[in-house]
Formats: sequence, structure tokens, C-alpha cells
Amino acid sequence: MKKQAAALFLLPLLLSSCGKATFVPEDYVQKLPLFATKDTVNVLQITDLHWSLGVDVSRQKDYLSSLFASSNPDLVVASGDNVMIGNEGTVRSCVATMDELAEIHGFRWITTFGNHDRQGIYEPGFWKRVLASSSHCLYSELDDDLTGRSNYVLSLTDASGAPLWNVVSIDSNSYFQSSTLAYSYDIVHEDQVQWYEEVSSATGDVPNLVYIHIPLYEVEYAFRLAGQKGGTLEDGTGRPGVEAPGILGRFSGVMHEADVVKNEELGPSRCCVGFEPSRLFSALEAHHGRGVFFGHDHINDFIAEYKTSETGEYVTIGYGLKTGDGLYFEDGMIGGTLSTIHRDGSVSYSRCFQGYEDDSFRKEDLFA
Amino acid sequence: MKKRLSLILSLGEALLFPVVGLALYDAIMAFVVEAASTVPEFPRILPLLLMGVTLVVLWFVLHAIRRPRSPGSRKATYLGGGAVLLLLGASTVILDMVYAFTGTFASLLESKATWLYPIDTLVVGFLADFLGAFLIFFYVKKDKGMPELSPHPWPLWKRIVLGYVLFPLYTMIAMFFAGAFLLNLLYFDRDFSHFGVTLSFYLLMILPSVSVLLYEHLIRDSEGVRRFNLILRGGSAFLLTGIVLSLWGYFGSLQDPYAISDSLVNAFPLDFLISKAIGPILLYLLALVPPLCMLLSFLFAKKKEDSHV
Repeated sequence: MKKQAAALFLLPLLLSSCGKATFVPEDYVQKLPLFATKDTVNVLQITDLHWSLGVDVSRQKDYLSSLFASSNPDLVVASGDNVMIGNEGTVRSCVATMDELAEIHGFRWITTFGNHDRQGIYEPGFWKRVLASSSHCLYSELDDDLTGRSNYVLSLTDASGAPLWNVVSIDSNSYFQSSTLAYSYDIVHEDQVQWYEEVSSATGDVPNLVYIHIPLYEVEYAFRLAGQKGGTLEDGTGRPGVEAPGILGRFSGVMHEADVVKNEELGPSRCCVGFEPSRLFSALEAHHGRGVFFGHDHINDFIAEYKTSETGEYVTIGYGLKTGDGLYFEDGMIGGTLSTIHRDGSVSYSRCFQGYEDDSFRKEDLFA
Repeated sequence: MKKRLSLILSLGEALLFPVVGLALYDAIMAFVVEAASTVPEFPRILPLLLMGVTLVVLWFVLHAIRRPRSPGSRKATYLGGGAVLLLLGASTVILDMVYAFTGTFASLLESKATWLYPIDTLVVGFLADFLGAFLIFFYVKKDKGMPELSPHPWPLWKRIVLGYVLFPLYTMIAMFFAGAFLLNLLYFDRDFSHFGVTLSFYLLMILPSVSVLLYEHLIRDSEGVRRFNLILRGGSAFLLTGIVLSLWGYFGSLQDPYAISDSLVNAFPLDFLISKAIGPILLYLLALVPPLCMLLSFLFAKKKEDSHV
């Protein structure tokens, strides 16, 4: 009996070391024929909802409904921190609200996880179970060995099923205990970058938009280059006087987060980036990535066209507008970020500012 | 106090401890995020916060009833504790009724902040009202008084610091982690990918509660040789356990830096708001400092007593 008890105790440890199933890139791809009946698709990014135990669901639902009604999305991407210190009820409310609004406003939605989505009174796999039973969410999570959970691709196809665009969700994970006393933000790991490359190649390297939560180092570089083009720290439009790699195209928006030294290599930055650079941006450049958007820093909405070499194409990189008033925000700087993608592979972007008052919607082209 | 009543109160205190832990954990979790918010939803979570405070007060009132220090403190416990419970209970009940009537609560079982929210706060509110009223009534009408006890051996400053500051603080932190531990029994990471490290922290979470309960129900009322042996052996066992678990947790999390952020993030609500590893450090301190202090102070007192003999 003692031996049986010991074996039973050790069983979870043994099973956890057995490894998980292996998947091919196609397993991560879901097709959505949004281009079957139209030439233009609106992809709206919402981010950092930060619903918590005390959330006023009714008020937040009204807010989101106004935003969706005004921005008319075909696909909504919630790029993380949907919930922070919530419980199972909070998660269910969030998903149910999104489903209800999706039904009313006629869109499908997906989500990628942020660093705080894990920070709740539920087990880590709970989100997956709730999202699996969602009526309008196309979330996909395979039981694989890939770092993170929310790594998957939505392939937007035409009527014949031919992929025209990919919308990619990559989990930027949460935290990394960098020292005895501190946690640093995590990054998109190398295996995830390789996964992105494999999936992109497997789906014909079509134009793609990538959504993560924790920002990439490249947005800080773009912000510094914006400083060389007249941006100032005072108004949050750029960081002059600091060298940065890469080439900057058009840019807009601001960074109002505090200057913090996240790591010695990067120096002072208004971006709460991961503990080290990731190779993701380079991979995007090589695989027809048109844009990479994130959240995480609620009072930054800086977006820029950036590339690492003269010969490459610009990739639009930056912060989606924080959505709603959960946790902290800046008045007049909440709403969603709209990517209008076209059948021919072109894309245009706009910010959709939405306040809580009636008639407070305002749409602004990103690079007007 | 009669032995049977003391036993009932002792049992009630022990059984109430984990319940208080759960309520306090929920209250602190809810409080932390709203305190950090630009537009905090404190009114919506106020019944939850009141429930946490009420249960904590109830536990300490029970604790004080079981251990009267003097006729004066006994009066304060019954009348003062009773009044506080009455006030907290009434506030909770009234707030719940107003919220239910105005539609702030979708229903009395909307199950948002807790599984049974807000009806659990209503039940606790009524319970607090009943107990508060009973305590006051009992003291005024039925109490037969108690004799003066011999003067407390500790000086006043020591009684205040240890009895009214450190003990309540330590107990409330122990309650919080007991609540976190109990919820993690339900919400542990089914992947088991970090189990080797998280197990150490689960055990560290429960250690302060065990020490409080064992001290209160075994050591405190013992005397003479039995007391000496309990403190020496019990204190040493706790210290050794604390050292082993702390080293295990510390080196484990160095070796697996994702263990806490993947599997234990709901146990340390403040840590991930400010990106500082306060929770693990606090657990190490709670595991090491109290048994060490208890052992050292006891040995010092014993040595002093032996030198006088």
C-alpha cells in the first residue's frame, strides 16, 4: 500500500516529464473566409480591458458596444490583460460579454494573453476551457511544447479558401524572475519565433498582422528615431539625443509612461519591454509581416513604420489604444486601433477613440 | 472559564481560521487591484471588504473571549467587540440591501466577486449582528464576572507590541496565506510543470497557520517541563522545516524562474503589480523569524531563570 501511495504521488511528476504531442504548422491555423463576400476587412484591436473582481460589467459592456458600433469591425483582437485579479466569474463574464456583443455587432473575435491574464483566482488552463465553449471566439490552444499558450493563426481567406491575410496571435508570456527581489517582463521566446516562421511559410507567407501583449524593443528604437525627426520627450512624441538602430518611416502617437530603466542595455525607456530583445521583428520582416501591435503600456499609443535595413519593407509597429478605464488610463486616450486590410494586401490604420460619454467616438487616421 | 466552553471556543477558533483566511484573501485581492486603479470600484466591492474585516474581527473576538486577561479587557472584548461586530454586520446588511434594490447587484447570487456573492456577505453580516448583540446582551445581563488575575509577567510595552501588534499582524498574514493555500488546492497548475518548486511554496504558505494554531492550542497553556519541551522541540522543528522549505523554494525558483509567474501568481497579488518578489521573501521571513525569536527568547529567559536559581 505504501508503495502504491508513493507511486500515485509520483505519477503527476512522471507524467509531466513525458512531453507533449508534436504538431505541424497547419494545426495552428484556422480559416475564416472573411474575404469571401468583401474586399476589405476591419480588424479592431482592443487591449488591456483589466476587468477585475469589482468590474461593473454592465457599464463596460455599454462602453464596448459603443466602440464596436462606431468602428464596425469584422474581427476583434483582444491583445491581452483582459482580466487582472479576477476569478472564474470574471473570466466567464468577459467572454460572455464579448460573445454577446459579437452576436449583436456581427464580428468574430480572438485573444492573445497578457502578463496579467494569469493573475487570477483560477487555474492557468481555465481561460482555455472557457474560450473553447465560446460561441464567437476563435481562440485556439494546442497541448504542445511551444512556449506560452495563445499561439495560433487565423487565416483570412476568399471564397475558394485561398489565404489572403493572416492574423497571428503570439503569447508574449508574463514574467521572468530575473533576481531574488524582482520580476522582469518576459518575451516572445525563440521557439515561438521559429514557430511563426514555420507557420508563415506553411501558409504561403501572405501578408500578416501579429498581435502580442508585451512590446518589442523595436518600438523604443522607433521612438528614439522619432526624436531625431523632431519628437520630444516633453510631449511624448520622441526621444531625441539617443542613437537607435533601424530606419523610421511615418509615425504618430505618444508615449506618456514613466521613463524607467528596465535593463542596462536599453537604458531609460517608456516601454515596459521584456528582459531581453526578441528576434520576432526580424522574422516579421522576412515573412511579409505588415504590422505588429501590442498593449501593456496603457498611456502609450505610439505607432511607427520601422525597418531594420534599407532594402526591407516597413513594418508598422506600435501600441494599440488601451480599451476602457480598467486599472489606469489617460483621458482621451482610450478606444481601439483599427487595421483595415484589403484583398490586394494593402492596409491602412486608424485610431478609434471612444470615451464613456455619449457621442464621444472619434476616428483618426494613423498617419494623416 | 469552564473547560467545555473553552473547548468549544477553541474548536470554533480553529475551524473559523481557514474560513477567515478565504474571506481575507478575497478581500485583499479585490482591494489591491482597486487601490491601484484610476477609477476604483470600491463601492462595488465594499461588501466583500466588510465581510473580510468582519470575519477577522470575529476571530479575534473569539480569541479574546477564550483568553481574558483582566476584568477590564474582558469588558472591552464583550462590549467593544460586540459593538464593532454589530456595526460591521449592520453596515454590510444595509449595503447589500441598497445594492440589491438599486440594481448594483444583478442578483443576490450574481457570483461575481465570490461563488456566493453577495449572499455570503449578507449571511456573515447577519451572523455578525446576532453575535455582536448576543455578546453585549450576555455581558450586561448574564455575566457573572471574573476575578482579578495576577499581574501579567510582561511589561506593558511588550504586551502591546507582541500581543496587540505583532501577533495580530502575523495571524492575519497567516490567514491570508491559508486562504491562498486553500484556493490553490482548487486552482493549482494541472500541467505540474513547476510542481517541484511550487510544492515548497504551498507548504510555506501553510506553515504560519500551523504555527499559530499549534502555539495557541498546545504551547500557550502549557507549563513547566512540558512547556519547555514543546517550545524547544516544536520551535526547533518549525525552524528546521522553515529552513528546508525556504532553501528549497529559493534555489528552486532560481533554477526555474518561471515557476512563480506561471503557477503561483494568484498567491502574491502585490508582487505582479509592482514586479517585486515580496511574497516569497515574506514567506521565507515568516518561516524563519518567528520560531527563531521564540526559541531565542525562551532560551534566554530559561538561562536567566536558571542563573537566579
